Amino acid sequence: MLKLENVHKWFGSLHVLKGISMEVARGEVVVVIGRSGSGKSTILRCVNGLEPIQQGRILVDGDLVDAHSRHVRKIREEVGFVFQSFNLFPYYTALENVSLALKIVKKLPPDQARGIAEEMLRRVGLSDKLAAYPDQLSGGQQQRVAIARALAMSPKLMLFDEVTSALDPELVGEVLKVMQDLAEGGMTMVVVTHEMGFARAVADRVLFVHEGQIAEEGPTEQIFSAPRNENLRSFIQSIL
Amino acid sequence: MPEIFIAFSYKDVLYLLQAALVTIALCAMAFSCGLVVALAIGLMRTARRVRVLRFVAAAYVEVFRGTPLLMQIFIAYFGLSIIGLQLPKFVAVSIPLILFTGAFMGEIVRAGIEAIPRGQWEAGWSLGMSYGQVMRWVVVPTAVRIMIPPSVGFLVQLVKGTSLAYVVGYVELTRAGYIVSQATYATMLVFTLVGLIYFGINYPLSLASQRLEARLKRHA
Repeated sequence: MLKLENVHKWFGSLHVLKGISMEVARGEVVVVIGRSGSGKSTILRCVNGLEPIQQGRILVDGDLVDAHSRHVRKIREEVGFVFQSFNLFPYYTALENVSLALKIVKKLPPDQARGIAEEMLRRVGLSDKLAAYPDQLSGGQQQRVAIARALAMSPKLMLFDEVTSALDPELVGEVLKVMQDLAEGGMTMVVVTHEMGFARAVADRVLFVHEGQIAEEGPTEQIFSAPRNENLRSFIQSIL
Repeated sequence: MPEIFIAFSYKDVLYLLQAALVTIALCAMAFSCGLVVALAIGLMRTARRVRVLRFVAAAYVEVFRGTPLLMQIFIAYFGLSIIGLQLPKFVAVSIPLILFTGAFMGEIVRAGIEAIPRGQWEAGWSLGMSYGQVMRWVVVPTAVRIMIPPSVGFLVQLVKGTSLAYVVGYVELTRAGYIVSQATYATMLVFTLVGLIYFGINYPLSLASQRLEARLKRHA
């Protein structure tokens, strides 16, 4: 479903991704962990073409991602992205946030877009908040709207970029619950997170990114109980 | 002693009010046409990929914002006539006013667009929207709200700025005041009245903008 081949990325002279190669199979849930600044979020942003890469290839379902081409819009329609800072549209209600792209990108008639949006908000447990504006919602609710907004496009792949990092601790659970339901429903997901409990519970596979490279990868249990890489060992110790 | 001038009367007040309508019309025309220019300038100045557009727009803004409006009107009327292009007064006054509005409002448009956080763009793009779609559906609804206070500030400046049309003899409120004061010698009275009429145009503008702002501020 997703394939990265020797991807390199520079921000000016800063070499942030140094030859990332990875694959995600259909229906697989891959969690990416690593310290701040290791490049893990950049990987997701490159997959969605929000950042151009300078070397290597990224394929989504066999389709080449080129941040500079028009075609990248087609790919983005099929790849959901959820941001750390929610990025809801402030002057649209929850329902309008979810239905906007259905109307203007997918060109669905308004009542059909509305129906899908209602269904998605119901899935994330916000049926009672259709008419609420983002500033009337808690962080956890806003992030669930953002997830519903991405899901409404019926993506083949969902990318989650530290989606609980900006939330108050008591609100993290409701968002992780939605993600867990999604994973159990068979969605292909790449999740960048610091929530190790979630990683252990949901991930099929874990990648540890260190200084722009994948330092270790393996089945979830192995990564947490028998890490080989020294940096991974110290990382796990530091957060548990 | 015979009367060598006519006494100030209600007819003069009517004349001034009529001239105020000219000022308002001039303003409305300059602002609406200038807004179209400003929109183009604002979009050009925020075009990320095309450097030449940014440069042209920036040069335009610097020229028309950096020179006095009075000079611009002067050049449009007298300057162009030297090279054989004699514009009618209304046109010679309108063009500088429109270009002047385009430069100032263009900067307000640019500031409004640039005030929108990058995350809003990325959210739109990640849903498959094009640059134009994000601009139209995500950026503009927020940017417009940011632009209202400085726009009204500029509009008030513009109302007063139209008084500069007097240099070419175009009869708007200030010119009319001058004509009446010449005829009646009631100079202080006339210009106090003129000042009050300007205030009477501008104050409702400020009030309307405050109301609009408050209404749009919800959910910021």
